[in-house]
Amino acid sequence: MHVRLEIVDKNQPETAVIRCHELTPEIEAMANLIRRQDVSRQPIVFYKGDEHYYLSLREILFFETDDDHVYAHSAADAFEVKARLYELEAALPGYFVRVSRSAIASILHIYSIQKSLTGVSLVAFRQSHKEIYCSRMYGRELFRKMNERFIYENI
Amino acid sequence: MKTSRILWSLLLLGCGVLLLLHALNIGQTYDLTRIIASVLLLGISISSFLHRQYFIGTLPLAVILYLWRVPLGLEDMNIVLVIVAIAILGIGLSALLRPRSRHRHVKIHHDFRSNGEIIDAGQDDAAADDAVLGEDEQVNINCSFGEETKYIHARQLKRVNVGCSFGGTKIFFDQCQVAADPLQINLSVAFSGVELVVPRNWAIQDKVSSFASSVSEEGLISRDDEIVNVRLQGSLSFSGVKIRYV
Repeated sequence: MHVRLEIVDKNQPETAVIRCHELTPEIEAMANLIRRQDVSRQPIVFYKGDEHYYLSLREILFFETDDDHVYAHSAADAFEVKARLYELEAALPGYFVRVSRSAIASILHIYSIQKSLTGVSLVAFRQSHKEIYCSRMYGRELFRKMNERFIYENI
Repeated sequence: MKTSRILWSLLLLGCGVLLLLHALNIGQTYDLTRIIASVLLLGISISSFLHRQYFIGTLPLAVILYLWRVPLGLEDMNIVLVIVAIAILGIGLSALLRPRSRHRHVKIHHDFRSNGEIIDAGQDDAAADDAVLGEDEQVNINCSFGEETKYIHARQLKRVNVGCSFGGTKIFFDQCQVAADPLQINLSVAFSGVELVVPRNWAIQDKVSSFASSVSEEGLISRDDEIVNVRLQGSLSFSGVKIRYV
């Protein structure tokens, strides 16, 4: 695909136009990725005790809820996030995907997905002992995203 | 558990005597396989009723009924329907007879004696007083017919109650801070798999009362850091518990 970049004046809105022959899943994923760029720039603050942490979202393996709290897990640590899971789902970059009612995972860190007879899949992460279950309802979306992972890996 | 031990001792003694009589051709000729299977199933049933696990307790009764259908004149019985009916009865009994906890934040309806014996929450005042723990001190995990992961983030953890039946649970303890010596992990697990992911400096004492179950360990244990004492207690039936050190 030919890529053309144009610098516009500050008073004009920044716009990305994709001219394609048909709307394929790859094109749609690319469009979603561009749409989410603005949102993902808003920093998410991570808390642990009295300390505030400013981490890159790329370090996060998954977000999970525990009663009224939402936690972000890195490979070896966990931090509290002052947001609801549905708010995060809307704000996070495209490489995050909902895997159950209580968790959102980063497809960039997924190492393996183990399917069971019940349709629930066990998701393991690279360089971490942490695991989460992906429920049957969200399984298809997870596998679709995993097939699109190459789009997010080099960004 | 004393009652269970006496019950199983008597049942096994009975089975042994029957086998001996059969081997010596004394008395009536019995269908030994059927009798021994029935006695063992009855043992499972009574033992489950003693633990107030009515659902598990009623299922062996269906199998006993099936084994004795000819002498009882029930040759045309539909075993599937009988199992479904008895399972529903078991669920009904569980809903009706399970004792209520005195404390609203204790969701599991068992307390556990220090030697691993399960007791009714309403029977022991000392145990009931001990159950008054805050949200950050006690964690209750319940899982039935499903698989789930649970990360514990408590800052002053003193007790964890795990109830799991016909399911699978992975519990991660590496993010919590323990405030009790020893930390109590109470298990009430039936027909399930439970995995406990714990830091390497945990020294776990296995005081679990188990039937047809196992507790296994995986990973390296480190005694270089400050050791955290943990007491694993409660009951397992037809289940597996894996402790993974990370």
